[in-house]
Amino acid sequence: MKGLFVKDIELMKQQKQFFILVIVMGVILNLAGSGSSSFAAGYFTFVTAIFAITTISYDEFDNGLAFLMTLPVTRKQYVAEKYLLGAGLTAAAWGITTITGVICKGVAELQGDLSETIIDSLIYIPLALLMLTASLPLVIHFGAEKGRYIAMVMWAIIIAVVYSLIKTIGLSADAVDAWLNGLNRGMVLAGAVLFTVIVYMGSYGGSVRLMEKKEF
Amino acid sequence: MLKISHFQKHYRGFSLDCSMEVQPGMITGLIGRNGSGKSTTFKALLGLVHPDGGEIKVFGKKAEELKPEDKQKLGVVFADSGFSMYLTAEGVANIMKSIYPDFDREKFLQQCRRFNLSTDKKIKEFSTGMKAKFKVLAALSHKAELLILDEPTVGLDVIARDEVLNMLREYMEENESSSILISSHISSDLESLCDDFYMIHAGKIILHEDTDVLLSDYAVLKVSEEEYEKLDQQYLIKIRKEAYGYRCLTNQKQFYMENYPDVVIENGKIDDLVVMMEEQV
Repeated sequence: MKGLFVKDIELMKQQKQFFILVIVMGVILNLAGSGSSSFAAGYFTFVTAIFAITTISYDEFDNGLAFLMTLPVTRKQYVAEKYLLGAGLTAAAWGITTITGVICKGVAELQGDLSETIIDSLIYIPLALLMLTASLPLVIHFGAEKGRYIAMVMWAIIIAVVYSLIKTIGLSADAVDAWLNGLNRGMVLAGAVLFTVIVYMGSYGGSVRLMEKKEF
Repeated sequence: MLKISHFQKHYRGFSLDCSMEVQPGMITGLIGRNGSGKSTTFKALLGLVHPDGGEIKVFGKKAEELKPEDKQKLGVVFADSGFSMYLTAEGVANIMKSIYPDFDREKFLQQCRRFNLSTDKKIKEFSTGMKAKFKVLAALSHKAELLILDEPTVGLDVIARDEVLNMLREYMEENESSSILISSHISSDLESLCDDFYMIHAGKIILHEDTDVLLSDYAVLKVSEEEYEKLDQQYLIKIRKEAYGYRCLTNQKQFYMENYPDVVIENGKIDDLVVMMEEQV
């Protein structure tokens, strides 16, 4: 599996402009002060997590996946590497943007609510992983392009259904906000992490089965 | 080294039923038109497609059960696939170093430079010939015991083709127990390289012959209708009607040379086989 990581790192090296842009935008967003550092962390955590899917596009380019599968790696290792890469990129992006945010805002300014800010923005990690949980099996099964569109349609449907449900039961945004504020943040975060780990592992198992069935 | 026993794969409008063998130290060719089943056979023996029947054994193991350590002994070239075009030769060298214990990074990069392949340019910036040479170099860089080369010379000019074929000859001289299974639609490539070859047509192997036997015993007889009537036809494999009479393929050239000295006899070539064998199947 080491070879697959080296391959993706080599591919990422070729995309260094993208990552430089991510960091620069993070700094600008934080300095502009229009949003919280938590917003910047969320935005870039998602953008970088998606790069795990983008590496599958690179693998598939020019029918390259068929050749990759002739190298000394198993299909299971290929899937495992993508899930580990997704988790690694998510954590790294969150870490970098959060640290950048703290530095830009000034530790002094944040001192009072530094831990609160970090706990708030931590929720983006399980959210980004949930996005990968749903997207990776689709991309592995249908291919990067088709899978990405299907994932987008799926998310649009989920959002529409949730929105309709909220409207139907007459739930107001203020009521949801009040309910969320009433919850223990630590407990919410712990629950979200546990839930994410379970579904992420489940998604990995499903992706391995899809990959094993795949023909090239 | 490699044994395919009635491997079957069925697609809509196409069925493959293939049996063949590659012996240690041998270069075996697989010839056939586009769509005849060459690439499916290659993919099958690498475990990239699942069998509907039959069996493929590589190094004595079923193709779909090959472990990474078995795959380390394989070198593969596909005409339409390879390392990501966004990588550089140096990047590929780093990847190969991490997956093949016998990969010699310095030698690989030195070979790249020998063939004028820039090591810091993305592969997508290479010309067709450079890409083909790069793929073959990568496949030859880690002391593979079995090379599986699907159309490694496709799209190359004569000089580039010659360079690729020489790379393969050099490799076999240095690694005498290794084997190569190679496909090409350019018959002269295979005639000059292979010890034996298989011909595949419409998903079936229709001929297996040693290259030496092909070149020494096979011939094309060009005869008028009158000559054809007098001809002993028991050694004619294929017969085709032509404007001047008949064109006949035999694997007993000597017999016809001795008994029919007036008949026009041309030495057999893979091209003749391809044209005539596939015609009446």
